[in-house]
Order: sequence, then structure tokens, then C-alpha cells
Amino acid sequence: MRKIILFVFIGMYFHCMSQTNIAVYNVVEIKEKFNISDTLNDTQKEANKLLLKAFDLAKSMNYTLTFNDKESIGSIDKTMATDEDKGHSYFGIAEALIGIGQYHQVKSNDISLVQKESMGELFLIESSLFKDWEIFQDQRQIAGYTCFLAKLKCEDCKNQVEVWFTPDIPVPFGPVGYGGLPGLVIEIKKYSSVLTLSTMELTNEPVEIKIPIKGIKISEDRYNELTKKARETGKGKF
Amino acid sequence: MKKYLIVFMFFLSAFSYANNLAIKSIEDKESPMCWAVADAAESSCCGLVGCDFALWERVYLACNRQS
Repeated sequence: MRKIILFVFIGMYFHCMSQTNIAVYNVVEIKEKFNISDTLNDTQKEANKLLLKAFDLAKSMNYTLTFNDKESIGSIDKTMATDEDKGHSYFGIAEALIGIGQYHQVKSNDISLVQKESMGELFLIESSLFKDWEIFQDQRQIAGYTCFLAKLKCEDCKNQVEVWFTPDIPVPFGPVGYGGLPGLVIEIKKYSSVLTLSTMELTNEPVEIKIPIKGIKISEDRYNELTKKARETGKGKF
Repeated sequence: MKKYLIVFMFFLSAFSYANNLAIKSIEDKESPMCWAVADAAESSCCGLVGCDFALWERVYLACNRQS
């Protein structure tokens, strides 16, 4: 009985699979708009100063996506960060520039989960994996893969997120929760930075995929409502 | 003796007043300043205030830690 309970417990936390791929992504671009010029006011200068430092740190961080044909798990690899890095006040911003949290995508259930700390709580935010994408004919070679451009359909977005995916690896997964396309997401151009594939490793060794289960379960829409409310009413309470 | 006492009391109250002003200035400045910095950072990154709460929150926390 004890063994069964142990087995069920382990089964809830881990999925062991063979032929798992490990993709590593890096931030590679910073736009010049974060330069600190005399035309900016003090607030903007302070903001850009923090962002520049955070971008420098973000460039040294890796984002690891582990996936097979059924599911994926991805997060920033903090094992590379030194204690000194973690001690910096802008370490948290660097994480935010890439993508905070642990992302889990499941193809069969059309689920995209992210476990992250926000507003002093740990959340488990659920959304659909297959989002409304517009796929373009534009092609590029990235890290040796032929990639196609896709953009999320969004009428009121000022800066639209651009994603490059490759049908060469036909899985609907990608870093930072981006997925639901007919191929692995290789590059994400988000706002002022680009997160792009740097290495891909295919392993026949069983790889543990630790699925996030802790946190307050909440839908993406509800979470967005909470953040909006926190912004309006929670001044000084973070 | 009375004069010394008055002078002493004057400096004491002046010091206390200046100290209170400095504390008030920090209290007034800290959160709203960081709130504005977080708004500016978010706006710089994704185009408008309200587009990336995670970034906004991290900038706000980092700013307060630095203050």
C-alpha cells in the first residue's frame, strides 16, 4: 500500500519520457531606445537605467525548454546565475524581461500553465495553448531551421509580439508560454528584446519533467483582472 | 543661563524640524517615485502602461529596494 501511495505521489509530480529535446534560448537584442539622453525626464532616466542594467544581466541568462511530442516545460535556468547576480535589485527585472515563472504546455488538453509569484502570492495560471495566430509567408533561417513568421491576432496591441516557428520540429510548443503553432517556436520578438534559440539537444535518456502543481489556480483572464485591480488600488502594497 | 537655554532650545527645535522634513521628503518620494519609474519602464518596453504587469511589478520592487 505504501509503495502504491509513493508511486501515485511520484506520478503526480513527474513524467518520465524518452527522446526528450532540450532547447536553450538567449536574449540577443537591445533596442537603442533605452539610451539615457538629456531629453528624458528624471523618471524616464531612472527607468532606463534599471532596464539597461537588467538587460545586461538578462543577456547572460539561459531559458531552457524541455519537450517531447506531448508536452513541454520551460523556465529561466537560474543555476547559471551567481549569488552576486541574484543579489542585484535588477535581477528580478531581468527575469521579467525574459519571462517569469515555470511554463507547462500540454498538447492533448490544449493547456498552457504558468506557475509564478506575483503580488506576494504563488499563482498557477491556466490558458489555452492554441491561440489565435496569423501565419505569414515570411521565411528566415534561424539556428539552422527554416522558420515562418506568426503574429497573435490582436487589434488593440500597440507593439505586437512576433514569433518565428519551424515546421521542421512539428510540436506546438515554445518558450515563455508561446505555442499552439504547427512547429516549435524558435524566436520571439517581444517588445524590446529578442529571445532566440541558441542550442538544441536531443537526448535518448529519460528526462524528468517536473510539472508545477502548487499555487492558486486561476484563469488567465481572472489573473489579468487581479493585476489591473492591484494597479488601481494596491499603491505601495507590493 | 536663561539665554543659553533659549539658544539650546532653538537649535533643538530647528534640528527636529529639519529632521522631520527630511523624513517626510523620503516618505513622500519613495512609493510614488517608484510607481512612476515602473510606469515609465513598462511604457518604454512594451509601448504603454498596463501592457506587462510582471515587468511593472519587478521594476517597482527593484526601485523601492534601491531607494
